Amino acid sequence: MTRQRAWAPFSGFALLALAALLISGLRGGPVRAFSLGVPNIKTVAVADPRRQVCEGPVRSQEAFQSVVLWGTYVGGKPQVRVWATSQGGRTLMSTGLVELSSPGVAGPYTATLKPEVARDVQVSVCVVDASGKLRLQGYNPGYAGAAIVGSTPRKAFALVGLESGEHSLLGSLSLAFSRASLFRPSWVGAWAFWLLLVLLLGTLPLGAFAIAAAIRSENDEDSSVSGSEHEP
Amino acid sequence: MAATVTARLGRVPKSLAALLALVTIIGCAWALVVPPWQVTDENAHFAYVQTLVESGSPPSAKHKRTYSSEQRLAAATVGAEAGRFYPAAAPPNWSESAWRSYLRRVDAQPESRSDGGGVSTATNPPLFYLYDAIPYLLDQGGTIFGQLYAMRIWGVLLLDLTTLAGWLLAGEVFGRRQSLQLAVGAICALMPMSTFMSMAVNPDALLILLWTCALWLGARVILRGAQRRDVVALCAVAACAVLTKATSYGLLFPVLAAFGAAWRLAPAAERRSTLVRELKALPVLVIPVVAWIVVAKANGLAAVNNVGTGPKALAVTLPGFLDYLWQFYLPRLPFMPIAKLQGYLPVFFTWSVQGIGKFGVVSVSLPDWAYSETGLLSPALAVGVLGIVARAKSRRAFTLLLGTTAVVVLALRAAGQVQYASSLTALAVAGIMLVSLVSLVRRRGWAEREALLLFLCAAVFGLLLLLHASDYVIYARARTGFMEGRYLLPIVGVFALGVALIIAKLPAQARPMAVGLTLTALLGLQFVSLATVLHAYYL
Repeated sequence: MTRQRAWAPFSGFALLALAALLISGLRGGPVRAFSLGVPNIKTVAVADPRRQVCEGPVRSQEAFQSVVLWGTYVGGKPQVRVWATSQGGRTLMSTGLVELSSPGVAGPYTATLKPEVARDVQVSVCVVDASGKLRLQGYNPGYAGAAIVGSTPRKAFALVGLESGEHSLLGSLSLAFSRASLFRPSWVGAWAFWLLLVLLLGTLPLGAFAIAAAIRSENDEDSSVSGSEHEP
Repeated sequence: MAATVTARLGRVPKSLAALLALVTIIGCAWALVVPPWQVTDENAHFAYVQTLVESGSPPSAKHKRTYSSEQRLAAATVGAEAGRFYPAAAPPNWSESAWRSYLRRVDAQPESRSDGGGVSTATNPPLFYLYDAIPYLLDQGGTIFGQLYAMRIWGVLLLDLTTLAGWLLAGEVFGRRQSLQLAVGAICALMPMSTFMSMAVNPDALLILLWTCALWLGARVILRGAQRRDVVALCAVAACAVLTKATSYGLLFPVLAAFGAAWRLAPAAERRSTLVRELKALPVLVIPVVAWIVVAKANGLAAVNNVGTGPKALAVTLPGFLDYLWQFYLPRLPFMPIAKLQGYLPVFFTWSVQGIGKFGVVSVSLPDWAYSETGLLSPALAVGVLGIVARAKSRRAFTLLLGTTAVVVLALRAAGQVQYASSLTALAVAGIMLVSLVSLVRRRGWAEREALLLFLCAAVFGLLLLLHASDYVIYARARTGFMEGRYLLPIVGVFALGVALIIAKLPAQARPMAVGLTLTALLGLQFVSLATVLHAYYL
């Protein structure tokens, strides 16, 4: 294959792959607004008709529409309600039902809250099960410091908030890069990740160049060998 | 001097230079995207380096702690421990106020760096930690996060050297055919798991490089008649590998295979001098290893990790090992006692899932299709290599072999049993090993090609034997798992040679396309992997 055409197959494949990645990156999905930093390691509380489990304080840098809980549901028809109250429990701010799968199947479970909880508002999140038992999973309080109200020693159930609507990966890159730039060396900011993204795209022409150069070198060697063979 | 360096750099093939630039970019991306201490055991390996630098001596049995106050505060603030196995529920802390608050705190009252001890990794050999102490020392002024990421970025150098070693290995095996060298170098560095581990603070990063170098040097020993500098270099690299991780005792198999092959290939009159050169080089391997064992014992440490015996321990027996081995690669037969308590075929999870890429602390997975599609491809590759090394008599027989494999693989896919495709791959690899042994006992026709095959099979066999023996003993004594896909990365060079061998057998017109497809697949997997990691931790 000639030097001019050596890069063509790679470029074609790479463009196809890039198109597939772009399409995939434009697909929508949930984006977390906050996490309490609590892993879902073991059962830390049980929500049932007689017991509501509340956790706080929860403060999110972004507004959130849904919350995700981890646990196992036991019982008949699930009726798990989640709500957010102002810290102290005096004002109901938002409420919703958990979308549960089959009993006995471990979560995560998502509850969509109405209305959306605004950013930078301190709330408590409470869970109650009107007909069965939801064993909530969690562990010790995480970096956010939130804990189950009244737990001794302090425990926390794993809780994650989701922003409203669906967000594509490509549309969320700015948010991801700003988050990823924290807890890094002082010189790293979101700009470093944008630069890396540009450089990553630059690997495609680099790959094409590498293949073209390799094939050209082989062709040169082949022609020099065949040339010397024809010498008297 | 400068002119010499410039002249030498000018002789670097352009395709290699482009590949190295590409690998450096991708390595830096991995180094920065992965959150702090979110690679297997990275926290403990970091603690080893910190202990080494701050106390001036490696961790030992006298230390009681693993982490310094500085590391514990940083890990707790960023949520490194909580999130290790649960990134969905406990991703890294992305609160800007928490970050600012942390910076103010460590600025006003820095926590101690020297009250750790690295005790949990104290039995590890010291070489990798000495290497990683350099960036730790260079970045003394900032936060612990600056030091951690300096070590990660320093790891990109290892990745570049692995690329170079893969390139040289292919050059030795196939001659200077740059398209094949490009393919092998790219596979060694750009298999997502290889890139991920190479930039991590983890001895596996150095291990991948040293094993790939050992494969290159072993090929040189075989093909260039065991020249003195090659045998010494091979022994030195093998010693470095053992001083990096105990798994590298498995390198003794290929080293001895290379020495034996070079001796057998030498003309009768030169065999004695060949043997003398090899024997004279052996102390380069033996002395540092023995010295490490003595030093470790003097410090009250075991030179290899000990396995504690649990309450439900099983007897370690040869039939038990064979049962375990069978059930690792093949479906359990009804009369066999259960040797592994897992709901899947371990070979699929280890080779096809974790071998390609399972990130974080084995907690962030690629989309399922990435594992199933590549898992389906691997039997075809392995059977293709088997057909080539077994010198399938005719093109028709070879096509039939590949066609049958394709039908079986597609049937497995239709039945939803993709995991058993990995059994096919394993059987084909076993077949390749068998071919190498058969050619060894045949009196005629044993030449460089067969010697190389034996050497490469010895590398695979040595590593797998050691890993399986450890996995079985740990399973029997402690009833816990040990095997992980990353442990196979030292032989990524052999896998890459297999792919290159198939490319080499294609018609000349199809080769650029095959190399292009290989590079596209690698870059595609890289992009998907980086996006997956970014999404898992930060969205």
